[in-house]
Amino acid sequence: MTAHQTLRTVDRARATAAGPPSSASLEMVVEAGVGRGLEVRFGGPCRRPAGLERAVAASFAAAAAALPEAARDHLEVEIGHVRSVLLQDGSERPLLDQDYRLASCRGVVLEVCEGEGFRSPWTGSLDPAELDPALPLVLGPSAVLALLSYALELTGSHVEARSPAPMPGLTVIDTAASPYPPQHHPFASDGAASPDRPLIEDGRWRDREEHAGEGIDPLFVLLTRPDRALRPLAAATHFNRRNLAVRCARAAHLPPAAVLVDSWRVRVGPRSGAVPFHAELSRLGPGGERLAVTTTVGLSLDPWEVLARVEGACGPEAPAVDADPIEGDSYGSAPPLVTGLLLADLAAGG
Amino acid sequence: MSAAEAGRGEVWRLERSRLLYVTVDSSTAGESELQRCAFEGGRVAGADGSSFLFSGPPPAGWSFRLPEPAAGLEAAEAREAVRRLTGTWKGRARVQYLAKSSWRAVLAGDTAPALVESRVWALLGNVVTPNGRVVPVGLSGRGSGLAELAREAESGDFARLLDCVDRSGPLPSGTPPTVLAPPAAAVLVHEALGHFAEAAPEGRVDLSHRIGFRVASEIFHLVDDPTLAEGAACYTIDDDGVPSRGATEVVRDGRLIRFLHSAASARAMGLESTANGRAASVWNPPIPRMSNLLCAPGQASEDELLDRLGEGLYLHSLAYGYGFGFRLEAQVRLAEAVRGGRRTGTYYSGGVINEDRVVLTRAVELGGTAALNRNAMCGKEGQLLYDVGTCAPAIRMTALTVRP
Repeated sequence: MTAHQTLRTVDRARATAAGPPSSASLEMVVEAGVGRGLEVRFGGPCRRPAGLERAVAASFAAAAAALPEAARDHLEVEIGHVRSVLLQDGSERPLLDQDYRLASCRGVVLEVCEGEGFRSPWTGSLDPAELDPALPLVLGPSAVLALLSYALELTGSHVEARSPAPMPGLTVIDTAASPYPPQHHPFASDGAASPDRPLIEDGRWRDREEHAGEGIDPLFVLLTRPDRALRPLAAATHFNRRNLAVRCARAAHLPPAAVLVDSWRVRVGPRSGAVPFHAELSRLGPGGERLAVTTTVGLSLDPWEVLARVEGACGPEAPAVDADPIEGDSYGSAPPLVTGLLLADLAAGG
Repeated sequence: MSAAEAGRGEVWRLERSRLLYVTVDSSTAGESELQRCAFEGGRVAGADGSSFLFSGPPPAGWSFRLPEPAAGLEAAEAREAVRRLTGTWKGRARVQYLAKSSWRAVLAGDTAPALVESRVWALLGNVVTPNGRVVPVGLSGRGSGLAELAREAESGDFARLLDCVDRSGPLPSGTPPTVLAPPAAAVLVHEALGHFAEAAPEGRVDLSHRIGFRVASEIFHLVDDPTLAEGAACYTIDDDGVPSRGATEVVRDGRLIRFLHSAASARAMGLESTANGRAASVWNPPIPRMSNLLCAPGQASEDELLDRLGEGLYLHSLAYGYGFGFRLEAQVRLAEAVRGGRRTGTYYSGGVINEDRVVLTRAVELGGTAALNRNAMCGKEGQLLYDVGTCAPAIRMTALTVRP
């Protein structure tokens, strides 16, 4: 068997309101095709990306100015460069060579890759006490991604999830592509295209057995999450899948007034039934009004029940992020979804 | 090493590691997946709080480089040990073995680099029993783990647990009086008391109001000791480069009396570090973590605890302990009904303990023998350590909230 080596380099700098800037310069070579294994070697010249650090500081200041004051504390901006090269028999074949800029706030991806700036999605802020629990619930792209990620985790974990109801119109693809270049590597070890794998097609499980803990693609995981080389892949909760792309075949009208879940994080390990989520919410109003709720709101929901109440997409698929406290940020894409639920339906119980 | 090399006010943390992973599926005889990793890299923390991660050796021109890590196990040796163990289990096992040997160093200013060598191992995955029960596997600690794997294969403890889980029924919900066997007690002590005693990373939240707080009944006395020779952790210098000065008393008479600190959390609270700054890898910042949490035993035998329990539950094993805010939960791997002060052989599995952090205020009696946990894995803030020891005796409780 011929050994294929993939060289991956990532240089990046990140700025947040919460603390001083951070940067990284990483280089790794993953060799596949020797027996049934992978060899991973880290190297590099230890060169601080000072240019990126300066650029991200300037970019952060400009991005912050575009946001309402209440949202600025949650802004994160990252600028970087990713390169993948296939090394074989003394030759080099470039696979990926990309600059990028990422801006996110409150779990919402504001822009990625274009680097041309963004318009603030929020027009102001709102005290949580002013939220009307009778408003209908709309899920933003990042909330959709996080919800499906947790639902898939239930299915692939030790938890005996009860048979899920159909999820009208939803398709979920496991893909090696990502809108976030450091997590984008749609290639097999020989440089061939890495195929997508449907997990859910038009609301039905494609093959649930397939997602019960097998199908690990260590090459992809190591190249897109280099820190995983330092711990067993089986210790990662999401180890049996790559990035997620969500689509919805049904369309629905955005209600004139609604509560939009910008993002949310589940606060417990995989288990069936209702679980607590901490949500960043906005209130949508007429004329494009979108008011960011100033504090995180506790909600309680059964992921399957929420997915079963999806009525349709009210916008195109967009970059999204699932911010997992253990796994870190996983980027994918999803449309905003209108549900048949009210905010009151997800009120946190004891 | 000099101040000029490190940069004024900068702290450089370096690591050089070798990792071996062997993935074994008991249903595919002879085949296994291998992964080897040679890691070298570091993290630079600036005086202003900025950070820079890098891979590869220190900058060209430095006079310092970490030694090559120990060669460690041959893959065939590890595969054989794992196969021998999983061969004693009924059902399909899918497990991954990790062995990691590494050198780390902390370099700051003109002080001599503090070099630390370590070796850790882990075995994790799951077993699907003949009746379709999925049972998590978790063993870990210091060294290569080969002796522990051989001992486990010899003793058949986990094989017996699998048999019991395979014929168990669903756990009824309720708040039964409970005796926790030492392995289950270790999970609860770790989650309820150990994590509660860890200071907030970088001191980002002021937790000083917790000092003096009753976290358990007055029968609990706990220390954290990184120098315990037989502990899962054993170090004289933590990942901040702070030398350990021995055990730190954290709980006395059921009250929290002191926090476990990293250098940063101690600085934020105007205190001295307790040498509990630990990092999963050099790319992670050291945060306050337990080393070996030791719960002083009581005097009763387990039979006496069960006799005084009368009716209730005997918790053999817990998995996936998890704390969030003031709540904690853990998956019940195996429990057994107790009637008339005797274990009945009626087994339950699959539910969760769902409790407040102060759950151990309901503990009324401790067993006379404390045992070190055999799964020393602990995840926090995205950092997974394989060598966090907990030593706990059996615990009798007036009530424990369990739910399916």
